[in-house]
Amino acid sequence: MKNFAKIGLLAAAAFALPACSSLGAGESGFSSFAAVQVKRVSVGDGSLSVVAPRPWNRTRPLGYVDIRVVEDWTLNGPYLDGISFVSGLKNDRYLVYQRRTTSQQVPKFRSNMTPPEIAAMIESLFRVRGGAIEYRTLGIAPRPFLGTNGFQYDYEHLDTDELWRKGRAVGAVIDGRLYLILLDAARSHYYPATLPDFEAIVASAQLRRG
Amino acid sequence: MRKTTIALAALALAVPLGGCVETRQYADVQFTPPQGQYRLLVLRPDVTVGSLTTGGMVEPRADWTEQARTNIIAALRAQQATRGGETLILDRRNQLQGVSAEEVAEVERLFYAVGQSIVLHKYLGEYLPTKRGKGLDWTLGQDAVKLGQKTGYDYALFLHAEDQVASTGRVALGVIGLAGCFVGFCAPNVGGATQIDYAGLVDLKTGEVVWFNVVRAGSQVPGIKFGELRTPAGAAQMVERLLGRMKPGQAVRQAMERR
Repeated sequence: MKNFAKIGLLAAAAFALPACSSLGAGESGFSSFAAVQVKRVSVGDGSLSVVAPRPWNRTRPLGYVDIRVVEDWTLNGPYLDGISFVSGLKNDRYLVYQRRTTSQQVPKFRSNMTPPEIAAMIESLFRVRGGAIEYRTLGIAPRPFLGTNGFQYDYEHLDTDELWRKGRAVGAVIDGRLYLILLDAARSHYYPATLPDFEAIVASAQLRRG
Repeated sequence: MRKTTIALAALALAVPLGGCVETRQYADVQFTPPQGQYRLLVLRPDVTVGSLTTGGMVEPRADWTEQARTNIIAALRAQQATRGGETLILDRRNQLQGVSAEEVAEVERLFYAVGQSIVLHKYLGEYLPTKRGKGLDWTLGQDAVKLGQKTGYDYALFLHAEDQVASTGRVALGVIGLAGCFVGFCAPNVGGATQIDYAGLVDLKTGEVVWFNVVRAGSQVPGIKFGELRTPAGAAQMVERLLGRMKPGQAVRQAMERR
């Protein structure tokens, strides 16, 4: 979810390079991505842990625009696929960093939200921050998650690059906090290719005890 | 007159320092450049040509873009004619029998996102640890495989080109930047036009992106050009820079060196 800001910054950096300084750093230096190994790892603020079935790449925190309970992973790059983790978003908090003066706002999460209301919040995230020009809800259904009654939300959206992307979110509100794992990927190839990983990650998800 | 001479001398000195042409290609480790009787499908080049205004903004120009695309397609035809393979270059999306324009568009759009990802993660330092040092590891998946099955082509070549042409005002501002110290104040030098092109070759039997190349041509002095896509010569130069020297993948090169 922080990837919306990150992609913008990366694109700006790419085109702000002085004429022919170089084609870029290639595969050397410091990258915004760090490796995720195949073992149990904590995500977000550490209150949620998961196991990925193969190595993934996690986005390093971006400082002032960072939401502590949100973490993003990708396999092939954020243009093509991504998994976002929400590890206990509190009542009256936002999923993404946004200025109060911004005209179009993603609504705050409220503890008493129903699954359709959480789905609407995710839709506004993609419309307002992701620039989706068309958006379709494919289904909302009950689904167990983290040992409680959660929900599964399937959707797809057409973005400004004219590419259809497809997503699945599995979440639950536990003790008034939102726990959610969301896959969003190019509908062609990348969504079906990463869905088994997503399902394995969802099945492995555990809350930190204590 | 003397000031003019000094300004021109300064301009001439600045030219070698003021810009360059760079190219860097990546390939799948097992990639061997197509040879013999291969069948190559070249998708409609994705081209944008704009005017670099005095203030540094880029205004896209539809007429220049169309002119550049026509030149690039002509240059591609001329270049591929010398290669020996059977090549079809699409200038419209509805040219393929048995494949709808929408199917072609879907593959083009997916490649565009894949191409952006390759540029970001292989060239600009934002490497993905899971792909670092592994050559190219991106695919267009079954959409590309289906395109190959329906058309009988072995490879698809995608080409993306962005060119900025410095406006008269931008050139004038650049000259003031160079000569400003001679006319009473030191105006800052302003950047010139930049051309960024990339091409990707997709194996239509597997869907994998097997070869990718980026060319960046830019000058820090407006008015100094390193190729312009609006001219046939500039388009031919760009096509040659991009596709002229396709190198095999790492594993293939190592095997060749051992022989």
